[in-house]
Amino acid sequence: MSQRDSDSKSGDRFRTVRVNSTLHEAKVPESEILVHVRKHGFCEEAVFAIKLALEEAMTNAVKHGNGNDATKKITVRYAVDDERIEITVSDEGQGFAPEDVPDPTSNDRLTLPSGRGIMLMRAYMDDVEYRRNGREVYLMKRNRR
Amino acid sequence: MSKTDALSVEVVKHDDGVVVSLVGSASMDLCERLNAALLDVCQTKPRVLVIDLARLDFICSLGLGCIVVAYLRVTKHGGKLMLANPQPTINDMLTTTKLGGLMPVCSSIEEALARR
Repeated sequence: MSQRDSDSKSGDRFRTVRVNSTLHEAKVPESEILVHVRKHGFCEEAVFAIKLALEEAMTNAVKHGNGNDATKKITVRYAVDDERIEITVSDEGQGFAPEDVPDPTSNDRLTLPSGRGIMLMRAYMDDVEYRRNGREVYLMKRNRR
Repeated sequence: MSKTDALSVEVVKHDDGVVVSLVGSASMDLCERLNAALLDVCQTKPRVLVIDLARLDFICSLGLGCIVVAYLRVTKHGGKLMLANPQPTINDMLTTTKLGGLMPVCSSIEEALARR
């Protein structure tokens, strides 16, 4: 089950969606967010990038942050306008140090699964920041119309 | 890119190898199925496995990981895995992740089968 809140009455432009920590439920906010970015005129290349980054953030939250514990929650907050989209994805895990994740493109790590998602988020979004000791990731993409 | 995600995996056996066509979107909730389908093919120990990406419009890192696992399984038995026909967005991901340097990327299935 997902829960939605809109904070527009309090002046907060971010919408909030909270979902159970499974890969299936993690798709719920994605569908909603992509409808909004298309409404605001983001090009298909940007839609691809946002979808990719969001999937990587949600996958990391489910698998690494919440340790595949479906009783835990993932909280997605997002704000989109004609200029940009901002998204935060928060999990209930112990956090991590992103600087300790090795480069997945080095020759000796190409066939290993770890780190590729973080690298893709950084490659496809305009800004990626880890907050709350790695339990929250902030993603931003500008709308280049 | 489609607005709803679905993935189908089509397998065709040729004299020269096996062609697996991925159709749709390899998003995070569908990769378990992708992994199972590729595992089934790898268990036949093909000499050449071509993964046709012409009709794949999205893939996440989990999906790329499934292809890498298939690459490791095929090469372990002396076979080859090649990618064919990636759309520009997918090709860009292969470049960004440097996986295009690990697995040859061909412009057609015929070219991939001929490079066995």
